[in-house]
Amino acid sequence: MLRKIFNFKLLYLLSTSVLIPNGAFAQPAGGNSFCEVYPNSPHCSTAKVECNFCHAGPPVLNSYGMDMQKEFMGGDFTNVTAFMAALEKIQDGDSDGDSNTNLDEIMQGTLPGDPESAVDNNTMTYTYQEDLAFKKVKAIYCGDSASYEEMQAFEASVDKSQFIDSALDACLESDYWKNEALHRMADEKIMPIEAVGSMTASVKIAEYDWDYRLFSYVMTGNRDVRELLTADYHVDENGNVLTGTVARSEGFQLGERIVIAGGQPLQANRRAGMVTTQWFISVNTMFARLPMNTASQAYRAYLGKDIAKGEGLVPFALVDNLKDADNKGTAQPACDVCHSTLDPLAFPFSTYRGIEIGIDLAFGNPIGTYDGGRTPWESEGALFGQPVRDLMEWANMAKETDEFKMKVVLDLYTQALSRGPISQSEQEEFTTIWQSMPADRYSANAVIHRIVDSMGFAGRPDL
Amino acid sequence: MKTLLIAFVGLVFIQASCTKSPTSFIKTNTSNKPVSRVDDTTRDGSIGQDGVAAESTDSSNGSTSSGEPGSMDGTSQGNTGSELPETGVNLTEPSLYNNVVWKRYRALENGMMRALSLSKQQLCNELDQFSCIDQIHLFNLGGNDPFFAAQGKRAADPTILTPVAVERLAMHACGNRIELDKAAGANAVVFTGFTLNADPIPADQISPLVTTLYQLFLARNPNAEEIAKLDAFAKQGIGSEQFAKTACFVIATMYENIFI
Ligand code: HEC
Repeated sequence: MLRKIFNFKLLYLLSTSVLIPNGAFAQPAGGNSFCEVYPNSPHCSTAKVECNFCHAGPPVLNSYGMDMQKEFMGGDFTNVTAFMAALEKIQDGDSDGDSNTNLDEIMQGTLPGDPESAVDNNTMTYTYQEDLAFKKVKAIYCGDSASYEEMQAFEASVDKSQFIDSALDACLESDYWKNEALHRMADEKIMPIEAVGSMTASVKIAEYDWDYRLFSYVMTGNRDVRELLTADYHVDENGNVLTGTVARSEGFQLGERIVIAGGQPLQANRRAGMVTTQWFISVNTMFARLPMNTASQAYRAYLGKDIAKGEGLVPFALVDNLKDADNKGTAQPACDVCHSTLDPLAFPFSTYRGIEIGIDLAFGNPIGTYDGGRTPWESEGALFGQPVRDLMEWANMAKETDEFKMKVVLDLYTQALSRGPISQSEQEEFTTIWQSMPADRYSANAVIHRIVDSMGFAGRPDL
Repeated sequence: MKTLLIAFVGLVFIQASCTKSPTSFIKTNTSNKPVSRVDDTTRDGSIGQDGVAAESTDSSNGSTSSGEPGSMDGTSQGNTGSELPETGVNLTEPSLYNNVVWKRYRALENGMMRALSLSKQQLCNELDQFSCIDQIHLFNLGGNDPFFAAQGKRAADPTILTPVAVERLAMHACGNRIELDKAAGANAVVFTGFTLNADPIPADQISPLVTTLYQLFLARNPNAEEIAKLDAFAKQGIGSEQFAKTACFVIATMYENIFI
């Protein structure tokens, strides 16, 4: 099974490398010059100019990218003047044919090369429907349908928003919310594999139950959601918070079942919440010396940036002897487009042990533990272009970013509505919600209350 | 033998539901955009296999891409708007005021359990042993099983098999309650004050039953028009048990019980 997973990753890797030929990628020069021409575009303030601005998926260009290519012959990204002139030349066209000019889309923050992303001409007004809000609260946060009796009580209540608030508070304490809905929200972050991570796994490389419990704990009880990246504790099956290390639940086994790990062996002062659990390190780092999968999954799951899709590329210049430290050929231009962001992101994870075949698998519990001398290189790396000393600094920086806040809110928003914000007005509500997080003391419950109060949640258009 | 028979009936039913399901109020969504994208529950933008399009105000021809996986097996991608008769109806454009939320598996399950006073075990089991909600129809009812089915993500929108799954659930649940109430006689809990073996159904029992079912499933009273519709149906000379089953099924599968 282990081998299967490993091979699968390798195969995936090979297939991506084959698909990406050597070629010029605009990042980051393109993005910077772009923002010199359009400093007031939302793409240059809150959001970043991502690859999908010009690419359908690097190296394939989208319609806007192709229009750019026609004007920007030669594609020498160091020729900033020519690049900027080309931008201006195509700005009055409508590359994706969605009847919005490229310039309009740039200034509104939509994508000029994607017809699905269009300027919002919605001038509709909405009225908040309290009965609708109540029914949605029951379904989304209690996993239940409002009953006739509840609707009668709701109709009879004097203060309807108070009624909704208390119903919501009750739901957020329900078993459904804590142990089901939040767990399903965490699936894509934890990526459980029953055969290697469950209590009955045939090859146990760690236990993911700890991850689910920690996630639910941090996301409930008005706790500080930043602890997703900084918690130095674990939560046991009875809900107790454990600050020390946790011994294996079962000893080393080889035979019918293979058990090489369990519990939480990492010392508390090296913990960074969800991204240093034994499961997270074990399943993501596996046999890698430079844990790129681990870093990219942390970046994707907690900062909302998927490097594999060309998102969140903020290259950091490594000193020469650290370029392609793991000797995988990632310094080539075709790889560097992503790996100049990913490798610096991954160094801080290098000091956490993956699966290393050795005698201590039997006598100790090494997977996920800290080892400052694990690799020839140090734990220094970078996040969003800023240098960090080690994973502690990485996590502390990450938890303060707007990207982290947006990701938390987007997860909760999508959980509720099965989609992100879709109109200008919803986008504004969305922004207010994540920007209120510091004032709301980073409580997920507070975010949810704001979502429930939004027009996006229970507004009906005035027709 | 019994299980085989049920499986066969189930298959026939699924076939039937996929082509046309006359009793259900849920229309099969033949566009590759999910039904939750219709503007609201009254302006029904879905279309039947016979190609009768419901009203819609949009006239452009939308693109066909969808952000998240909408179907377990990809079959929902098969029948795109372009294969439909020219109706001028755009089935693929997301609504600008897309505020309808799909009542997913657990909320639907709990609602049905309470409506029909059935335990989780009594509600719905395929082949008498596999939970409709937690196992067989989980994905199509909006859930995901990351552990045993490696589904890290739930469907963003209802899939083309969602109507079938909801109908299976309603059919089992309504049927199970009626069997239990028949056996309970005077101690029946839902179909009370009601002679299930009367044929045709006594006229004075129609409206109370319809009202009860609306309250149980939709948490409100039916309006006069809604009662009249089912009343007219009952008066075609239908027996009590068949009417009870049909009314239960129809009300349990209404849009209003599946989308909020
Ligand atoms: C589109 C961005 C992108 C490009 C281009 C790219 N990679 Fe990667 N690479 C990633 C991401 C992201 C990961 C981490 C795995 C994941 O999240 O899918 C990764 C992981 C790796 C790993 C670690 C695999 C493991 O299991 O530990 C190696 C080695 C690697 N890439 C080599 C290359 C090479 C060589 C090239 C050029 C031929 C290249 N990559 C081009 C994004 C990219």
